[in-house]
Amino acid sequence: MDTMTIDVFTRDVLGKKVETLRRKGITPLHLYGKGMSSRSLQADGSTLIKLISQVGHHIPVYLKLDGGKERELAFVREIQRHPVTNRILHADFYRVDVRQSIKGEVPITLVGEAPAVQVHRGTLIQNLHRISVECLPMDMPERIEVDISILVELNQSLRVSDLTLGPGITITSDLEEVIVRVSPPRAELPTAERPGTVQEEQEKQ
Amino acid sequence: MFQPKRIKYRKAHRGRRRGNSLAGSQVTFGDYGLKATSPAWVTARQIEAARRAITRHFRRGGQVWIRVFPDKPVTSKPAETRMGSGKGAVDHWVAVVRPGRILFEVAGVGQELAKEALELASQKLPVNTTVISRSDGQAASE
Repeated sequence: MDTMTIDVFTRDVLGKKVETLRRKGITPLHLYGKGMSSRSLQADGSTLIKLISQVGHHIPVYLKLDGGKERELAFVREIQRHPVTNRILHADFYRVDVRQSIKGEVPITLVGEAPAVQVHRGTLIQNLHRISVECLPMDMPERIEVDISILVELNQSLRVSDLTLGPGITITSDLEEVIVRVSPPRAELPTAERPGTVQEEQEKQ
Repeated sequence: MFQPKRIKYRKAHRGRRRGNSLAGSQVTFGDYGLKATSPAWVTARQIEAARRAITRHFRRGGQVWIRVFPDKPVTSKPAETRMGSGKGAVDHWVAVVRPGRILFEVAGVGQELAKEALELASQKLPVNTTVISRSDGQAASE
C-alpha cells in the first residue's frame, strides 16, 4: 500500500473556540514527536474520517503542511470521539523517523473457518483484536492474519506465541495471551425456562 | 441480580445525571454493543432482564459482557408513612447511565442475531439505545 497523504493547515483557533471549526466541518489536529514542539493543525473532517478508516493507528501517513512541499511522516496516535455520535473531535499525529523502530498496534484478522465451530458447534471468541509489535515505520504490517482452520477441538486456543511474523518485526505483546479460542456451546434452555418467566419471577418477588 | 458485596456507606445522595458518559463508550470486548443515548437509572432487575433476553435469543453459543454495574443504593419509605423520621431503607440498586455508555456487548454470533438480541434487551431498559459494531463504532445497520 502506498503511503497516503493528507493536507493539513496551521491552526490559529485554539481552546474552546475550536468548536466553531467543527461546525464548519474542520477537525482540529495536533502533531508532535521526538525533537519537535507540538504543532496545532487542522484538516478537512470528511477527508480525515476516510484516512483514519484506511490507516488506523498503525500505517504511516504523510502530512502535507500548509499546501507546501514540507511534509512529515506520522502515525495516528490518539483519536477523541464524541461518546454518543462517535464523531471525531480531535486527532493526534505522532511524527516518526523512518530509520528508527517504533511500537505500534496492528489489527488481527482471522482467516479460514474453524472445524470446531462447524463440527462441534462451538463458539469462536476473539479475545485479542490488536497485537503490539516493534519495527521500522515503513515495515509495519497492515494486518496480521491468523489461520483458525487449525482449531479442531473445543476449548482449543491460539496464543500470541503461535504467530510467526516477517523479519524485522518483533512482538511486544504478552506471548501467553490468547488471541482466539473455541468455547463449548451452552446447553439449550429447556422449554419451561423460555421467555415469559422473567416477569413472573419479578411478580413473585 | 447484581448488587455490591460490601459497601462503605449504606445510603447515597441522588446526584445529577448531566453530560455524557466519560468512560465506557467504545465496544471493547465483543463485536457488537448496545449504547445508551439518553440518561437513566438502570435497576439491577432491568439489567438482569436484558441479559436474559440476550442469552435466550442466542439459544446456544455467543458470549455476553455486561458493562454496567448497579452500585448505587436507592431508598424508599414504606407505604402510608408520614414524612420525616429520616431516610427510608435501601429498596434496590441502580447503575447511573449517561448518554454514550455501552450497556452490553456480545460476540460469537452473526450481525443479524446480535442486533435482534440487543434490540430485545433494549426493550427491557429505561433508556434510548442504539446498536453499534466494533469495526468503527458506527451503527450496525449502516
